[in-house]
Amino acid sequence: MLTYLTKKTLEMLVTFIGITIISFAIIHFAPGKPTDVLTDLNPKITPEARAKLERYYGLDKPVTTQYILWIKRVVMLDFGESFSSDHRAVWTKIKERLPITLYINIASLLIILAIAIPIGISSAVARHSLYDKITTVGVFVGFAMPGFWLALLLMMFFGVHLHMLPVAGLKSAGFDAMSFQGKAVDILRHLIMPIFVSSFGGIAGISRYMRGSMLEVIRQDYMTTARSKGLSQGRIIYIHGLRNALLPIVTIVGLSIPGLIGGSVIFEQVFSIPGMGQLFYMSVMSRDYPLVMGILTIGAVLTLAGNLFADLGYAAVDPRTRR
Amino acid sequence: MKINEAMIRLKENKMAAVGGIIVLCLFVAAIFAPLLAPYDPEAINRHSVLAAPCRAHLLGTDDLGRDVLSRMLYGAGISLSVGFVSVGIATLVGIAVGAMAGYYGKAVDTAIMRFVDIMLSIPTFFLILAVIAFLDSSIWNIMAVIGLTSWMGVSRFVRAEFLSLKTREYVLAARASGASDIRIIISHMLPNSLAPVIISAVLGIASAVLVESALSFLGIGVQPPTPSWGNILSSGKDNLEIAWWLSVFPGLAILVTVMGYNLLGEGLRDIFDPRLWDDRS
Repeated sequence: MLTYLTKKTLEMLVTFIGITIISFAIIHFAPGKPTDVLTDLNPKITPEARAKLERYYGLDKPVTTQYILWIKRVVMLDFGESFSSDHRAVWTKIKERLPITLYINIASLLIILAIAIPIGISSAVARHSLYDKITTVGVFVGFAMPGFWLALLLMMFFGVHLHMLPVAGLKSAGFDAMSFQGKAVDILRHLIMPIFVSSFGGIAGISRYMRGSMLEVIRQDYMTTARSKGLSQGRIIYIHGLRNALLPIVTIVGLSIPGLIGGSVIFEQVFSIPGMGQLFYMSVMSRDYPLVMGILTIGAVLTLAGNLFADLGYAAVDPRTRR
Repeated sequence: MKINEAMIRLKENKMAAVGGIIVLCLFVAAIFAPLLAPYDPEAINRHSVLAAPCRAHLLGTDDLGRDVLSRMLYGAGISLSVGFVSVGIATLVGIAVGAMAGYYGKAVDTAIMRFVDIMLSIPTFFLILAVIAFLDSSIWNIMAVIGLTSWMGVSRFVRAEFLSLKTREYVLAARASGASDIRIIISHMLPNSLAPVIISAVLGIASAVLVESALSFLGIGVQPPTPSWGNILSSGKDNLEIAWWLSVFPGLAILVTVMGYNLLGEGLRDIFDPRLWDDRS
């Protein structure tokens, strides 16, 4: 187990360095010097800000030195100062926005797993039945559904027509005057649609993979053995089958984390949720370089953390990896 | 598998057929947009701003009085070209990278696959947004960026195929007779690993269409007045309370298009995958 963890940690370190090199390269191989791009396209940049940026990245030094200087600061969570008029530290800005994005992503991940795995198993077991056909059609629709369109439809129906749910933000007017329970209910009501939207595509995807994986497992010899031993159908499927069928799913979930994080830009923008995705959108629109780089790096760290959880999950399901 | 055998299976496969028809309709809409569109897609008409669907404007008009049906027909061309060009780029890069890793194996393989893993760990949508922000959001840049951030799947397939192909007799024979690496890769191994590449390309178009529409919806993709389904939806969001048609129709077009590519891709997978033949048809 210890060597396994060491190996994983080393792999993560390599991946982290790789990601930061790619992000860094985007700055340096973008046409012109980063400061030129910024100053030409962003009238807000003052000469002081430009000088600060040059100092921060050490732009007079060779690229490799610049990268090493930058990564040293990044490890200390120093991403520099935002270009926006408030001049606050990038990390402070990210820190206020990160929790809500994390909550929404974790909640949707849990919902995806809780709904998709049972659907996948049951449609694999009842293959070619009416139920299987209906879920297959559902999966194709779910796969193809643009998240932002689903968001618009929900806003139109539940928000504009039925006035059941709030369409934007996290808090209603008068939030501060509410009781604790009132506040909790208010935030939950604001979060229902965003969480639904961000888990919708994932439910379709994961249930499809779960179905495929279960179908694969059902054909295996050990399943026939279990059946010929006279075990109950439930035991065969949920004890013998599920553990094996879950293995590829754990990998898929790990791989889908970057997509979830990337998707937060869309639903946070549509629902005006003050999270990291919205912050990223704003930083991109105003060409706030340090903030863009900071969020790219944090996004990478989140993905790595997600992958680590996926690996630990894999080890929990498959005893072979622990050796 | 023989070609005519594949054609027979293609006819029998309902998924591929439905998907194929949808994609065909899209081509027709895109190619004949100038003939089919009742209005100039960029013509502003102050007298019919936000008109609901009616006989003159079957799908209504937008906030500048432009005909939504005409804009959507022209938007089909944008969606189609972004899908095909960006997947073309992704497929070429994916084949090159995957072929190198699978053919040379060992250290080359390890290094390349490590890089692929790194690319897979980046939240791609963030990366695309960042790059588009540094460049400008011309349609060529969008195609290039989507292509260069979505080749990893293809490269994995090609690598896996190549790893198993490179010890086959005909490859060994080609090498023994002095064929160069490039020749072995291109004329001997590649044709034998095309099926998974084609399938993932078709599925890749579906996700490229989704990414383009999301970018245009956010205002960093195809720029108005050029019509794209995503930027019509963007004005739909601004007029959500008064003009449902601006949000419903373009989204439906994206949904049906993406479903078409997915059905075609999944159908082709069934056709090419011999393991599925026993229990179907």
